[in-house]
Parts: sequence; C-alpha cells; structure tokens
Amino acid sequence: MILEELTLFNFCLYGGEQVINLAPVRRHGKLRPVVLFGGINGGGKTTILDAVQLALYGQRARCSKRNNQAYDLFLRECIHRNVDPSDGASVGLSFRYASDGEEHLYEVNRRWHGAGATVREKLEVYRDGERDKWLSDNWNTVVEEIIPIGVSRLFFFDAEQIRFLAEDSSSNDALGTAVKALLGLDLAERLIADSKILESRLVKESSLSDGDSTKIEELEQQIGQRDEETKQLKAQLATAESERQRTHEEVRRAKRAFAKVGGEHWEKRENQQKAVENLKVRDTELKIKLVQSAAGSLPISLVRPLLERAQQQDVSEDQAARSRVVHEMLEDRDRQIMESLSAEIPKEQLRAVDQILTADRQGRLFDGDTKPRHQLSERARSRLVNLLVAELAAEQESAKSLVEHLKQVTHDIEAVSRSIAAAPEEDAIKEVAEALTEKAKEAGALEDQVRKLQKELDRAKSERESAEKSLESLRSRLLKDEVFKVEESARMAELASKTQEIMKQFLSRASAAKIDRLSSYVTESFRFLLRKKTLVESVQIDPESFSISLLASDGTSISKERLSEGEKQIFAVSVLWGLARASARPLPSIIDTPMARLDATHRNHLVERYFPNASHQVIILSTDTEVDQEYYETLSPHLSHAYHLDYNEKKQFTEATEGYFWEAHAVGAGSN
Amino acid sequence: MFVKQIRLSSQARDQLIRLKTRTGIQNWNVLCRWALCVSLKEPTPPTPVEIPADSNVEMTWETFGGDNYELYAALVRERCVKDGLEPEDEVAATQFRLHLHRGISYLATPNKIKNIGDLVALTCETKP
Repeated sequence: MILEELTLFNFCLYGGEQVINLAPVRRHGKLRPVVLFGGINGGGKTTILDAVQLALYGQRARCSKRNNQAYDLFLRECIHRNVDPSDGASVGLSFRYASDGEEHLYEVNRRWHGAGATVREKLEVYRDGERDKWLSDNWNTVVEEIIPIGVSRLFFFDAEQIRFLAEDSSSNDALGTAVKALLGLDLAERLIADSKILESRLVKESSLSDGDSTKIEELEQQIGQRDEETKQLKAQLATAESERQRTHEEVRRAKRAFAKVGGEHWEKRENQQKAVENLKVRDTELKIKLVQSAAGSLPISLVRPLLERAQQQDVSEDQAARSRVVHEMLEDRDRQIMESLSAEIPKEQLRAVDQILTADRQGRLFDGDTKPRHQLSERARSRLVNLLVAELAAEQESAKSLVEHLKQVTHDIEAVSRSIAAAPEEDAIKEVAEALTEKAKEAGALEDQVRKLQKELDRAKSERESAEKSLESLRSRLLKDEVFKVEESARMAELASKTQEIMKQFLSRASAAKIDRLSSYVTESFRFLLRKKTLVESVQIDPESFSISLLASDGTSISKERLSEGEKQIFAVSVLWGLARASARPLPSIIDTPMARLDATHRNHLVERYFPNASHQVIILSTDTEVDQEYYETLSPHLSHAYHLDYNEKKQFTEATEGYFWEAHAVGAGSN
Repeated sequence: MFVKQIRLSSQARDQLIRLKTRTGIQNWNVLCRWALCVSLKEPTPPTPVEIPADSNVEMTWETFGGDNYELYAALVRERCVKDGLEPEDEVAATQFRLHLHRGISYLATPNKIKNIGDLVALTCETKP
C-alpha cells in the first residue's frame, strides 16, 4: 500500500483546499522512502495524522483531539474556525493497493457540513478514477481488509502515545488483537467461530428430542450468563483496581504526613517507655547495692591515713608493752643476782655490777615514753590489719564500679526520656495516626476485593469453558447420532467439526511459529536501536497472553518498569518495527513527534537506522528540534521530499508548503 | 570507750532525716559513720562550739561503730594527736562530737549529696 495524496479542505487548521503529496519518489533508481513534515507545536502535524485516519475509518478513527466527544460534534469542530459550518469540510486520501495480483488506485473522500444542529457526512470512494457505489457503501468492511483499524494503530502512531506497549499489562489485549490480525491468525480464529455457528445451526435445524434441545438451550444460556458475568466482573475489577491505586497513593500521603508530625518518634515511644522502665528497675537495684556497701567499712577509706597512723601507734604500743614486760623480768633477775653477790664480793665491786646491769636494762627499754593510747583488743587489731591490707581497697573498687554503673544508667534514662519528650503528644498525632490506620485499612479491604473479584472472574471463565465443552461434546454426539438422517447435513456437520479440530491445531502451531519469529524480530530491532547493547539479550512474547518480557543475558527477566522513559519509547518503536517486519504486509508508516524524550544516541539510532528502514513509505511529522539541521542532512539521502507546515497569522490558517524549516523548496516533489 | 551513749542535736537529726530520704539509707548509725569520716578527712580541726544533745536520736558506741567500733575510737584519738591535742577520754569525746556534727552538716549541704551514688562516690576521690 502506498499513500499517494492527502487533500484537506477547511479541515481544522488548514483553510481552503490543500493537496499534499505523500508518495515517495525514486531517484537514480533508488527509492527514497522518507517524506518529512516540519511544523512547530500547534502547527498542524498531528492534524495530518488525524486526517489520514479520519479519511479511512471515519467514526472509528482514534483522532488525537476527539477523546470521548460525540462524532458529529467532533466533525463540526473539525471545520475550520473561520468558515461557515454549512460550507463544510472534507478530507480525501488516495492510495494504491494491490489485491489479487492487481494494483488499483483508491480515492476516499469524506465530506461533511453542519446543517442546523446536525452534521451530515458523506463518503465517496473511487477506484481507478471511477466512483464505486458498492465500495462507498461497504467501505468500513473493505478498509478492514486493506488495513484493519487495530493494525493501523501500529503503523500510524504518535510516538508519545505508543509507550503503553512498554508499560502496563493492559496493553496485552490490544497488542494481541493487532498481532493476530497482522500475522493472519485472525482468519483461523474466524474460521473456527464460523464452523461452530454452522454446527449449532445444523443441530438446531435437525429434529432434536426435547431433552437435548433444552439441554443445549440451557448450556447456551449458561455460556451467555457467564459471558455477561465476566463482562460485569471485568468492569468491577477495573473500578476496584483504580480505587486501589488511588488508596495506595493516599496511604503514601498519609505516611508522609505521619512522618512529618514525628510519628516515628511516637511509634518508638512505647518501646522507649519500656526501656525507661527497665532502666529504672536497674537503677533501683544498683541503689540497693550501694546502700548495702555504704553500710560496711567503706567510710573508713575516707580517712585511710589516720587509720595507718593508728596502726603504727598500735604497733609501737604493743612493742612498748612487751619491752616493759621484759624490763620487769630483768629487774627481778638483777635483784636476785645482786642479792646473791652481796654476800660474796666487796661493796665497791657490787656497786659497779649494779651500774652495768641498770644501764643494760635502760638500754633495752623500748620507747619508754609511749603511753598506751588505743589498747586495741586482738579482734580489733586483726580487723585493722585486714582493712588496710585488703578490705578497704576491695570495697572501694566495687563501690566505684557501682557508682559508674549508676551514672551510666542515669544518663541513659535521661537520654531516653528526652527522646520521649521529643515525641509529639498523643493528642497532636492521634488524628494523623488514625487517618493512616484508616487508609491502610481501606487499602487492605480493596486489596481483598481485587483478589476476590479476580477469583470470581477466574471461576466465571472456567465455568464458561466447562459449559462450552459440554455443549461441544453434546453437539458432536448429536451430530453423530441418527438424528441426522439427511446425508448432506451429516457431511457438513462432520466437516465443520473436522475444520475446527484442524484449525485449532493450525492456530496453536502457527501462533507459536509466528510469535517466535516476531520475538526475534523485536529483539533484533531493540538491540539495533538501543544504546546499551548489553542491557537486553532477548525479548519474549507469550503466545497465549501476548505479554512481553525482557530477558537479560543471564536469563533473568527485566521488569519493563526498570526501563527509562526514553528506553520505553525505543522499546515501543522496536515492538512496532518488529511487528511490521513480521507481518510482511507492505504498509506505510506515519510517525508523529518521534523523538521527544530521547537522548542524542537514541535519536541518532532512530534517524540513521529506523527511519530509512521502517517501511517503503515513512511519513515523519517532526518539530524543528527533533529533525534538526544535522539530522536533516543525515536523512537527506533517504528523503523523498519535505513539507513545511506554517501557520499564517494573516490568513489564520496553516499552509503546507514544500520544503523544510530552513530549506523552502529545496527538495521539490516529483522533481526526479 | 570515751563515749558510751551518743545523742544527736535536733538540728543534726533533721539533717539526717533529709539525708535518709535522699540516700535511701535507713540507719542513723550508718549515716553517722560517714559523717564522722567525712569530717575527720577535712584538714582543719572543727570549731569548738556548744552542741546541744536535744534530740531523741540516741545510740550506744557499739551501735554507732558496729564491727569497727574500736577502730572508730582509734581514728578519733589519732585525729586529736594530729591536731596537737592530748588524746585523753574527755578531749576525744568532745572532738568526736564536734566532728560528727560537722560531718552531718557537711553531708546535708544542699545539692552535695543528691542520692546514694553521690555519697559512695566520695570514696572514689581517695586512693585505695
């Protein structure tokens, strides 16, 4: 498919009729696939994308500015501001498309004008220049053959909005539909569905016993009910899910508020109070021990020098006492000696002996002056010695450790008490704490609800499956039964069931094979475009759920959330590129605002590697900072032609003129 | 012993009651021993003043001194000698009374002893 021409008439920013050539040219035998549109913000770039989609899909088009607006209201607003709505507007798109070996030129023209309160829309389709009524009437079906709307999203995209592919798991459904359509798997699915319908019709047409027909009706009813239930549950689940996310955010906010008013101090307070209680017990124990040690000999250690003097005195006293005893004994003995000698030696000699003995006794008298001061008992004396030798020192030592211990405990009590005092009062924090508990409770309840709904959903699904299975087996039994007297019906029924069987097998094998191929294409594209070559080893796509996972070289999976915004965008582009290559459908690409979030390396990669190779026709809608002068140079070998979308203040509309921002008319269309 | 019965002044009694609550020590005699030693440790001799025995707190010397009653007497006499006094019974008895009451006042000084730890900590300052 090649887009040839886009004609805008009074459409949005574009006043009057403007014809834009989209077909890429060949130069020197080489196709130049890139058609570049340059426009500043609000210049009408996205309008080009919208116009293509609107022309093709009408009411079903996902236009950027429509949101949930009613279609006719949207159309009315798409009429250029300065034009009378009754004059109307139109978008026209012509493209070449080959089917059944023949290429045709199609022209789709969608016109509308406001008539009073209503908007009248008219669609005309031309084939090879001739108006084709059948095509015009059945365009919605026809366009699904050419480029299904689910697929168009993957080829005509706003790069900002495709990041969903790299984000949540809810994208799996959308991706799954697109992948199936692109890879042609939807045909097989449709065939299965059709043959089921045929089967059930055959069963119905045949004459059934009342029991069987009620049974079938019941089962069909069941399936319908389950489908309805599933739908409701899904809606409920979505609501609960978003509620849950909201409450999570609220819980986070409540936690922050709680921390701000000192909630953590407050939470610690209970422990701290316990700690203080323990410390106080310890304090009491220590004080009891100190009182006990104070009752011993400890005070005497204060006057140890006096005690030492008392001991010296005591020793002297003791020695004096003993020497007095000796003195008395010697006196006795000397008196006896003198008495014995007085009869035998002369008086003079006797006096001399007496003098000698007296002097000797005087000399032996120790410290004769020492008066007894203390007269300690033996018991007191041994206590004195004990105290000085060991007891006082020991008591002082243990007293010291007790005192230090007590100091530590007192200090700790003060420190913890201060921290307790720093905690906010219960009243001050009560409200915030209650809010937090409340929110946490709410979040928990929602969590439960989500789980419950999920369970119910699973149950509904499995019930539906089992109902469908019993219906199928009932039908196939009936089909084999003799009920089918008519040979033709029997043959058709048999074929239908066989077709289903085969198609199911085909589907599962083909899916696996195609998904495999798709995975490898996506991996290749991603690694080709990504700056960090070693980040991702491969990209895996689950053939059942279509969920995409990234694997590192060591086989561990990398969460998509871990990718940066830029990497996500690159990833999304890679997925699309991989899809385009895997589908082998020659469809053009339209890429809007492709590089907003990317760094220089990734921009380089996109410009050098992706744009020239994305498709045989690549329409790029860019601002002057995205494809700038440098990238313009890089792209120019692949560039067919460029348009500059310039808002003309005087005329009050945007004009598409050939050229690029700084290169007006430099590259002319069709100037080969 | 140079003193048989000890009877405190009513001022000393009041001071001791305060000390009892601060330190948790329940016995008069234990606090009196600390008071005596604290005063004996002071380098200056106590000022001789009249100390009335006008309280109902009374104990024998043996109760006062406990196991070490003889040694407390010896300490008082040694202090007398150190202060240049005759360590006779009468002198020692007077000095004892002065030291005891001075020590009680000393311990009762506001903020000096706030708890038992402060009291016992007094012994940490002297070398064993």
